[in-house]
Amino acid sequence: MSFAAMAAWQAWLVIGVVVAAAAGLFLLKLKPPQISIPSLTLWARVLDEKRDRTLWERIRKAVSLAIAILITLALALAILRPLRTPPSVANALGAPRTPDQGRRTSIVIDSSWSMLAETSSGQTRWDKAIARARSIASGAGGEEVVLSTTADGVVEGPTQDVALIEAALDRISPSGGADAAWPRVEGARVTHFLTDGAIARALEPDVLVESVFDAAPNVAITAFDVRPGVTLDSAGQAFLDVANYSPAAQDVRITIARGNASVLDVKVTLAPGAAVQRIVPMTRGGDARLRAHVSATQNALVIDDDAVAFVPGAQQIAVVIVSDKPESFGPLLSQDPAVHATFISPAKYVPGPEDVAIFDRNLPAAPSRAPALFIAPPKAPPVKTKSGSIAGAPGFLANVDMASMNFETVHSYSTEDLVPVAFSETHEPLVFAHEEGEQRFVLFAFGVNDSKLMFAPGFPSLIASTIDWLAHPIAGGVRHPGPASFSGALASLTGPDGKAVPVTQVGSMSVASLARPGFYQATSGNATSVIAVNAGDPEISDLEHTRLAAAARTDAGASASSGRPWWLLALGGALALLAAEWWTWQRRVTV
Amino acid sequence: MALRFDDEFLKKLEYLHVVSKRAFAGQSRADRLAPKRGAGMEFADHRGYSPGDDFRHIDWKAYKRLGRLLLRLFDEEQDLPIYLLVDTSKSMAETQKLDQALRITAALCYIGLTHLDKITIVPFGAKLGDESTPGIGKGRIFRVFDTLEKVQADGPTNLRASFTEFASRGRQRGLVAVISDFLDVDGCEVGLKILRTLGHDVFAVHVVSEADRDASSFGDVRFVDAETGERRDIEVTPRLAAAYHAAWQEHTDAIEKFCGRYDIGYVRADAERPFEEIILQAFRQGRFLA
Repeated sequence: MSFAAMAAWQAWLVIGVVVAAAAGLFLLKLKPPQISIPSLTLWARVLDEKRDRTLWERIRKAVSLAIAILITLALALAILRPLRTPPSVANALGAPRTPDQGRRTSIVIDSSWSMLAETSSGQTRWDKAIARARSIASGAGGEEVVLSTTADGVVEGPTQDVALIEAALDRISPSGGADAAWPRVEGARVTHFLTDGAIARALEPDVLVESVFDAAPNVAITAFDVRPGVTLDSAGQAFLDVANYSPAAQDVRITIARGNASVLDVKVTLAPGAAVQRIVPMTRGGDARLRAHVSATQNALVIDDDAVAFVPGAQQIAVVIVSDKPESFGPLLSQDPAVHATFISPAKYVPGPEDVAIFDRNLPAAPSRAPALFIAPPKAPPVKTKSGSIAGAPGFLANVDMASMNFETVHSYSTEDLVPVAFSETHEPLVFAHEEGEQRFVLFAFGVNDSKLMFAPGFPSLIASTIDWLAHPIAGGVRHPGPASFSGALASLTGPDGKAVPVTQVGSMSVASLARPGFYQATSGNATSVIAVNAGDPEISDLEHTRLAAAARTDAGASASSGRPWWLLALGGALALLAAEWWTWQRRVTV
Repeated sequence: MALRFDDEFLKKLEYLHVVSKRAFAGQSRADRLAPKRGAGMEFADHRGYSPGDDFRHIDWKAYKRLGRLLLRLFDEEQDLPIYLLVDTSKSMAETQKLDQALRITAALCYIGLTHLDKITIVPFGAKLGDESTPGIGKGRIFRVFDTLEKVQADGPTNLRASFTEFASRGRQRGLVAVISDFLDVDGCEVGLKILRTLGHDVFAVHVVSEADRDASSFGDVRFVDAETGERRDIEVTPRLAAAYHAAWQEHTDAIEKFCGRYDIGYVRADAERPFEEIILQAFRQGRFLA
């Protein structure tokens, strides 16, 4: 068992002292009130008679002593707030400390979005977890405290300064992070995990799980995305899932807006636990940003009421083909509804606002600002840094069968600055890719007409994938908030609030924290991608259930069923006992 | 304490007189028939003339009719010696009890004075106090008031020693009213017997109060005996309080039975009961006043 208010040994000491004090005070012979009476003669006669005492009279004092101790104990427990501790944790707490075991208390707060759910008491689960964390930190009894969240890892500590922990608790907020690694703290004697159990986690047995779960009704958008279109005039289909996670049927209003235009506004009645799906076709042109919203009466979580999606095919990719033989590409690119191709001769080319430039067997005099595809250039384009060359197979080659193409003539390029990403059967380098802050290009070591690739089945796919990869530095689609990794180097990432999001480069990957739902804009090599981030998820939004096993969790100062802190019950019990004792004393029922 | 009665109550008292079961010889002429013949107003009997008898008492009409000298005898009317023994021990110190006892004493005094009885007020505790004889006539009642107002409760109760001392002095036999709570460690029986043995007509006026009857407090208390100062720590439970009340009732019943067995008048005077009600009802029902 652990205690919220102080360290276990201090709490046990306090309990022992107050119980001993209560018993001592009870047994203390106080001077009784003196009452003068006319004569003691009759009293002496009565007292000297041998009287049979009832069982109650015989045990009355012992019962009163027990009640006094119970009252004191209940009051002490109400102040100290003990917590049930799983056997494994109890063993950890009770085991003799090894020399290398530090005096550290680790507090891990679940930062999944469901923690923002408002409970019946008016507090959110997060508020309860923060309050509990404060009490653990203040009761650490001189131990070092480490504060972590499941999304951000360690946010403060190890430190003995409770003020630092308090400041960190004021600072942090839920930010998803269901996929983040479990924050490990070296030398932690006990790890308190404050969670509502919305997300299943494999925890080590010595983690003390403390529940802040309190069932709450909720209506949520559990899925919102856009499927790509398959026809020339369709940009795709927006599909939306809305679920009612409440014990009663609810009227739910669903709206979808494309830019400022409303494309859906309906009211539906959802049975308890039921979900509804809506599919809205998207035409090409128009705003690519979709925003969905649901509203209902019983709705404990706000963050999953809004969702965003990006229509990737809404705007065509502007491609400039710099070639003296445009007929080689004309039929090919005109078939792709996602591309708007412009042909220009090498002599007339000047860098413009295009999304992608294709240089067919030539190199521009001035380096292109746009991402570029070099097809059999006379020489390799210069690179700013060698580290921008991609070593592994980039995304655009993932769905391309290079074996379906017959490369009759392959040009050779110096591999000092560039690293090949695809080879022929004879191990000749076929494709090079380079990606760094402002430079992003792909180099084909083969010409289109040299190898008659226009008739190869895989070539249109290779061209389309390459253009898409160059135009969109990262794959679109919908993500959940939390830490996210992207293949390639991102030059910048802008959040929904317009502020830059820090990006960390780890090898060939970029890592950033998508803390808030909304649209993010990623830039790399002058190409831009929009990422839609939504919090809604069946795992998060179902606030009526928890994945915490009843036997494995302790209540973080609140009853999981009623939401009422149990120490209030202890306090109430003490007062009830006190009142009963006082009443029986005053009424002379038991004395 | 101011012992004063209003005029209306005094008039009521004047209609009462102390009832003695027996006639006692007094010393002065008064309202009560004495056991001896003498110079009274009421004819009692005849007897034969003896030389030296007062010629004025010869019944000449009887001589004419019977031819014998007969002397007319009259009942002599004398006063009644009334001894009011007032308990002034500490156990009576409770204000209500002592007040009630002194008022009763004053009222009995007034009744006696009105009927020209010889009143003697004798306070007692562990021994007799200073006796007081106010005189004869109802005008002396103020002297009685003054005397009683000076009475202070003090010391323990010892009925046996006090009444033995009372008996040791030569006194006319008469009516003795013992006004007390009878809370004597050695009991009251021996003392009352002494008075009865002396030939007095004895009345016991039992003054009791709420504090005598019931436990005044519950829980852990330290009772202090008002007379002896003895202390005793007691946890007063409802059962113990009930047992005490039963013991007190038994004690009271025992005194009443004892009085009945020895032809001693018994009147209970509750301190909380209105004084006039006690005098005008309880004492008359107890055949102490008529």
